[in-house]
Formats: sequence, structure tokens, C-alpha cells
Amino acid sequence: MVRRGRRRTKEDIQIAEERIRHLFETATGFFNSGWLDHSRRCIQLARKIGMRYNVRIPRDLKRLYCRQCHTLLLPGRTARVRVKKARVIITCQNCGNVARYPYIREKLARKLEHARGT
Amino acid sequence: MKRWLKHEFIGHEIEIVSAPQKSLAGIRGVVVDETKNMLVIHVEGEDMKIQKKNLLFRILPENQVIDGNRIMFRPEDRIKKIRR
Repeated sequence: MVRRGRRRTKEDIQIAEERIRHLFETATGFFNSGWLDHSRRCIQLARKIGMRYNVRIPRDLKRLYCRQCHTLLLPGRTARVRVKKARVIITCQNCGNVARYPYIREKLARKLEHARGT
Repeated sequence: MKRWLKHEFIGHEIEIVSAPQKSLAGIRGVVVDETKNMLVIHVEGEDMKIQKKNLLFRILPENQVIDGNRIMFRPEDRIKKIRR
């Protein structure tokens, strides 16, 4: 197997994390300046860095972009957010991609707790 | 120095110190995209594509001069491939 570059070190992972955060910040900046293509490219790069160095995209940023077209998803501007049938449904207004995040487990837990309480 | 080579350029303002095309020297702009061989910078309302080869540029907030020949990698490969 051909090795692409050297092995990653702890420092590399830290740099990768910083770069992902930085890229999301700049993506927001570009988005607000109306440069949607550059904003998308930033997020695409952030994902690539994450995949290359096995670094996760932070939780708070994870739902902030469309997985298909990499647009920033801002509710009311580029995304539609609906809560239906124990799911959060986020639709991308740019490409129409739909992401569903179920919270059925939380709902059942709450129900159980309620039943026990009464 | 070595830290900057591995870091992100997108979103930072740079100034070109010298380039094979002489008229580019002194131009300032915000980096908006990066590929293996180019930097795309936004200068006065338009995007300029600049080759990295034989380019010398300065990151403005830090005043750090960077040699374009050392960053001729894809942006996501740069962390791994650059050695000191």
C-alpha cells in the first residue's frame, strides 16, 4: 500500500480540529456576504479534513450544513425545520435534501417517566 | 512558521510579495478558495486565481511570509504532507 504522507500525530489532529472550526466560521462569513459558492466550498473542505484525519465535525456544527450540497442550513433562510412524528425534519431549500433526526427514544422515556409518576 | 504552513488560509487576508507575473506583486485580498496548485483570492469585487508555484505571499494579521512552493498540496493533505 502506498502511504500518503506520514502518520498523523496528536498535533495534526489538533490542527485539523482548529481548521474545521475556522472553516465553518469563514463559511458563515462568506454566506453573509452572499458568496454562497465559496461558503459551500469551505464546508466541503471542512468535511474532507475531518475524513482525512478521522476527526469528527463538532456536535454543534453537525446539523448546520446540508450533507448533499454543503449549504449552510439556517432555519428560515436556507432550511425548513419541522417536527413531525417524533422526528426533526430539516429540508434544504437549495437542493431539497431531507434529513430526519428521530427522537423517539427520548419520547418513550418521557412517557415511561410520566406513567411511573402517576 | 511551520504552524502556518499547516493551517487554513481561507478567510485570511494576504498580500502577494512576489510572483512569476510581476504585476501581481503588492496585491491584497481575502483567500476564498484553495486547490493543489492555486489560491483564489477576492480582490476588489472579483476573484483572482493565482498559482502557488514560485509565489511568495504574506499573511497579513501575522505578517508571516510563506513560500508557495512548500504548500503545493491539496488543502486537506497539507497537514500530513508538510514536514519541517
